[in-house]
Amino acid sequence: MGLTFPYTYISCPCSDGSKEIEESRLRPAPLFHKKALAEEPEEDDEEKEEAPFDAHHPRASFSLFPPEHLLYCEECRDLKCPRCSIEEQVSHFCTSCLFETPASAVRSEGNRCARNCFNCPICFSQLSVNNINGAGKEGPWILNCYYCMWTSLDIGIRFDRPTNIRAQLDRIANGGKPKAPSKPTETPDLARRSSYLNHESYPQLSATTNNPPPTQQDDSPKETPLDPAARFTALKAFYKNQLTTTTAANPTHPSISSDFSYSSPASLNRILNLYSTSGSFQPKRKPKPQLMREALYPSEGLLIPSPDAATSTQTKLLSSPTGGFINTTTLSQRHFQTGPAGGNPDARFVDELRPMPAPLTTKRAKRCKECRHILVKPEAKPTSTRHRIKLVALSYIPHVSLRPLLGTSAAGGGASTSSAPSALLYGGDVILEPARPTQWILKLTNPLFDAVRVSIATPAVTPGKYGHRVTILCPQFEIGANSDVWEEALGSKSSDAGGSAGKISGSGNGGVAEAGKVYEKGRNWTSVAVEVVPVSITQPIVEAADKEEIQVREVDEDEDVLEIPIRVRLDWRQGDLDDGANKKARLNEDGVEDGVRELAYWMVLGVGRVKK
Amino acid sequence: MASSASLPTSFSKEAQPRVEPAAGPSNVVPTTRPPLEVHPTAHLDPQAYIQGTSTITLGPNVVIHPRARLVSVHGPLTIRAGTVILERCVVGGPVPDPKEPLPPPPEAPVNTVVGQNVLLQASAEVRAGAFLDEACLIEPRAVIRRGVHIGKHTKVCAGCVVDRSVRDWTVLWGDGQTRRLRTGAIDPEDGRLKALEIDRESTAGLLTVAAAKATLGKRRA
Ligand SMILES: [Zn+2]
Ligand SMILES: [Zn+2]
Ligand SMILES: [Zn+2]
Ligand SMILES: [Zn+2]
Repeated sequence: MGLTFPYTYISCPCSDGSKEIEESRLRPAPLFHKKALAEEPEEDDEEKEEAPFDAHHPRASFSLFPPEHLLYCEECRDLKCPRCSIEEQVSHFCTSCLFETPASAVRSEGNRCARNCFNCPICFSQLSVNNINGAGKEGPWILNCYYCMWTSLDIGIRFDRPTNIRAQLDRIANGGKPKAPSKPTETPDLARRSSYLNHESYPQLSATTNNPPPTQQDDSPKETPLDPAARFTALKAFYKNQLTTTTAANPTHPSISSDFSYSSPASLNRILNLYSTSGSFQPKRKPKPQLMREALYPSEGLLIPSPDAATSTQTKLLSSPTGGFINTTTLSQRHFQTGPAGGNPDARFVDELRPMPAPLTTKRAKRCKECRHILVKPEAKPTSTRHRIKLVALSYIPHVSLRPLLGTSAAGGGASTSSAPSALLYGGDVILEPARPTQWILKLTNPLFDAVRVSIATPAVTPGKYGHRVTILCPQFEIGANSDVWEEALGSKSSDAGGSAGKISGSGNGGVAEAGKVYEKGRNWTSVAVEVVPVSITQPIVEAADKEEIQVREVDEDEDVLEIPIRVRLDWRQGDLDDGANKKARLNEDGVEDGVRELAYWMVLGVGRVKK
Repeated sequence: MASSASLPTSFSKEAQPRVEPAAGPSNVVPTTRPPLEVHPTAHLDPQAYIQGTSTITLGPNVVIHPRARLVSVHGPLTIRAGTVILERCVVGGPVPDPKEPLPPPPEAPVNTVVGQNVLLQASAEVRAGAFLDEACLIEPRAVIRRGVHIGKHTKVCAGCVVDRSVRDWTVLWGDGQTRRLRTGAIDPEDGRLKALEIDRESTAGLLTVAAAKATLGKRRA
């Protein structure tokens, strides 16, 4: 993974990963420690929370998120990652025509645009509706792909009107003939036939499955062949019907009844029969079991391939004037045909493919998984990019930046960090010299309109395989409110002038990396100094080499990255809201009536790579 | 060096009679501007780059846009009627190194032919020795390699590098190996060619006026 330094990730404690990390840290604890935990559960919590986050733990990345991916729930007063928020659809719309489809119609339209938006079955790009000659206002009209030059004429389809193409297409089969409806309608013919077929007096059909009755041959030209979906439904209906009739005929026979739904009359009948006859095993006079028969007619879903189908496929494949293998479909083309919108996923040749209506897209709202409050809600209109509600974490938690401290205050710091700025500038790797102390400026910028008290804590030695020493020189400080820049600049010009001058000078000489002191402070930001002493990561390799000469352990990918886990604790007093209801709600809160907000989380700060 | 004989045999019969042999006069004095045979109805923009030693032939109604590049270093160039070549196209490349003097005419020159009603879109490249049959459409940054025959009404989509011959009515896209045959496209293709013709006439008019004004301005200055 390409890392650009410095970076920050924030851990959401919802994942099993973060829990496991905590547990694994607690596991090696001695026995008395466990006892102590049992005695004082409060301290247990406290200690658990204080167990430093190991950024190099194998499961750490499952709980780490970039700050911009996080949301903030006002009710739970906690950060919410994508995993602890749930999504719900606000609206469905087509990305090509930007028309919204009402939720009630989405399903019946197969999740696809019901207008004139289609995708090319060959190259999947958008199709346009054109006059057959390219220009002109009279039909016939065709669908045209400007990329791969596919037209609906390739599959023999043209349209009478340039509007409502989807409805027109649903009625035309490839080749231009009218298409059988996808949903087989119970034709009177079918109903009649099925009724007499089920009749006892009808000659035993199971024996004659191979040669259908000659009378049907006369009917067959009239019947339009069903399309695959319709044939499937017809077959399903047919066999269901067969099962119920045969089961009804001999209800004690369990193997036949594969209709498992107990609510069906046939099954109920069977169960009742079981109970009524279970006491006496005396066999009743069994009626001759009625056998199931197979589908015999096209209306039942039977499809007899024409005798020359195989040879015609072969000639189609092998003859070069028709294109041969060029005209076979690819896997992705067949995959594109799926869905309940009239595609042909079994197409073997490109002339069997259908143009596919453009799939719909959704706008989604996000809710908190715990309290179900809405965190993000976009406007339903497809053309709008605005949100009604958008509680992103970035407008609550301070933005963190890190830069190397240039200067001579740290022993040897200047030399090692001198390369860092250029690396930062060009987005390259920041290389840290092992065992050489470096100083960094950690700057936190407040997005809130209230001043925030911050305490940041880090383990003195980073957890994990390599314990780098980290010291935050000033762990507790305050960040000013993110008030209006102009208000401050214009309103208190005279008083602030000295302050801002001080700030400016602060970056020059006032900023001193001293323990317990803030390095620099501005309107809504504060920076503190952090001292880092990386440990050499090559040491274990040397040891291994001592034991076994050749075996040199490779340093794992990104194992050399120095990451500092920082526990951030924020608390602020929410400013007066003019909304009375909101204030009331706050007052009703248990004990917390003054609008005090607290937030604590683990943050991982990537500083750079340690030199190998 | 591959000659026109390296073309597929089925096409070379048709192709050969139309291709003029390498012009004689250029062998005598190698100048930077090659001998040109431009049909009076063709528009060769003064800002197009022309380079080479062999003859360049432009058929009727051909439009060469400004900054297109015609190179006849490797052999004669024939551009047939109604073809449009847009900006930054290179026909007959690769382009010789500008720092070095033009090489002498090659001993075995290769013919480069762009057929009728072909549209070469911006930055398309047709290498020397390629043969484009009529009504091809070559999209931006596509490259037709040396000795490749592109069939009639074939479309080469943007960025494709074509290194083997392509039959008529084909579309190439993606990596240049994804292709399909245009089976039912006769009517729309007619429409496309008609639109191309209209577009060609209007741009030719515009370019002629622009070129005339530019030369007039230069003279005044
Ligand atoms: Zn919540
Ligand atoms: Zn979470
Ligand atoms: Zn649409
Ligand atoms: Zn297409």
